[in-house]
Amino acid sequence: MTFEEALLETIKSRRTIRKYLRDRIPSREIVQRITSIPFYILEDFPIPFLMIVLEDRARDRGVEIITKTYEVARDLALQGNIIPPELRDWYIDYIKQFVRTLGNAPIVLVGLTDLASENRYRNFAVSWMIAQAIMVHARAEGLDTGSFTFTSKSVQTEFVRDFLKMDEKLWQIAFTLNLGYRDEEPLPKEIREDVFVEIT
Amino acid sequence: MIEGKKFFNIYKVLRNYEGRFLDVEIPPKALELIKKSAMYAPFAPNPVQGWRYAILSGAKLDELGLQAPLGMLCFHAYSEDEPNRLAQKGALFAGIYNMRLQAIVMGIASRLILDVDPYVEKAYELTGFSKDEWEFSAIVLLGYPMDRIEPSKAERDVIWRIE
Repeated sequence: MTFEEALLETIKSRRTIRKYLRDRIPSREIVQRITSIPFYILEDFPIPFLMIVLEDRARDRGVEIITKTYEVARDLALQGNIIPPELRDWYIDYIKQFVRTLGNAPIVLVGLTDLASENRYRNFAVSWMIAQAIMVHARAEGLDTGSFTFTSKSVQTEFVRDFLKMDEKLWQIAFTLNLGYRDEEPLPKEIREDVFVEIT
Repeated sequence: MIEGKKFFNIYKVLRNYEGRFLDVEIPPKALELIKKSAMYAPFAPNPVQGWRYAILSGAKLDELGLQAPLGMLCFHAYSEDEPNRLAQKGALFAGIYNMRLQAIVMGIASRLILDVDPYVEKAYELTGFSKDEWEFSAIVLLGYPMDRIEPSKAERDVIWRIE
């Protein structure tokens, strides 16, 4: 296998993981490498950006706030539209379990940017390149990730202002990622190949 | 699978390439890998894989006033629901990142244009896409670089660790 084929395999093997080994903690060295990746993207695409790494008790306190909202469940329920009908009941239980614990991931990464100004779409786009870079590199390190959404204003206020102690008018959440070692095998994923059109 | 520690230096040369491109076509196999890498980005649920890439070269790219062996006009599904619109945009840019990463390991540089305002009308005209369905969000130019790519030396204090 060539190097470029190996990279594609890594990209393909990055799947959203919702269940993690709580007691297997990624090493500080690996987490350090993963969390330094934003530097390189921000050099060419400068935006206001901060990444918060939540570990240990801070992770538990953060998760307590996040799981107050039903939005994590709503987002996952939407994704349930792509689950085969025979797996729907299983999926509902799966969501319920995830929402209670956020999958037990030992680390939660929170990407913050400015989504209130006229540059919000650019800021969000660059933030998501960062998120993807983190997810792919985590996979290359043998780790797994999964993004989840919570956007309600009240929870953002409680999380960003009260918990992170930041100005919630300047900083909004662009992404939230679980990080850890997987404790499940994800379902097979169907990929459409007709998303490219050649203009001749 | 690649090995994380050894692979790390590649991020330093994944720069937004502003130089000229060599007049050399991207080999079909390389283009296939680049396209596949974009397809394996995480996607937003409604619609699934709500992105489209229009591939242009030669005279069609000239019509946009851009010079490169290959260009991709990048669209995501349009939504009036703001959270869904952002979710679609995030998924598109995750795919764009994959493409650019896959390209650079094959020595192919990329220029990502985020300010697409000057190209909007022409992009819809060339693709025939409807503005009500597809939101034009970025252009990626791809090609072998004529100039040396300077590795990044950037460091910014963006990480807060709360324990």
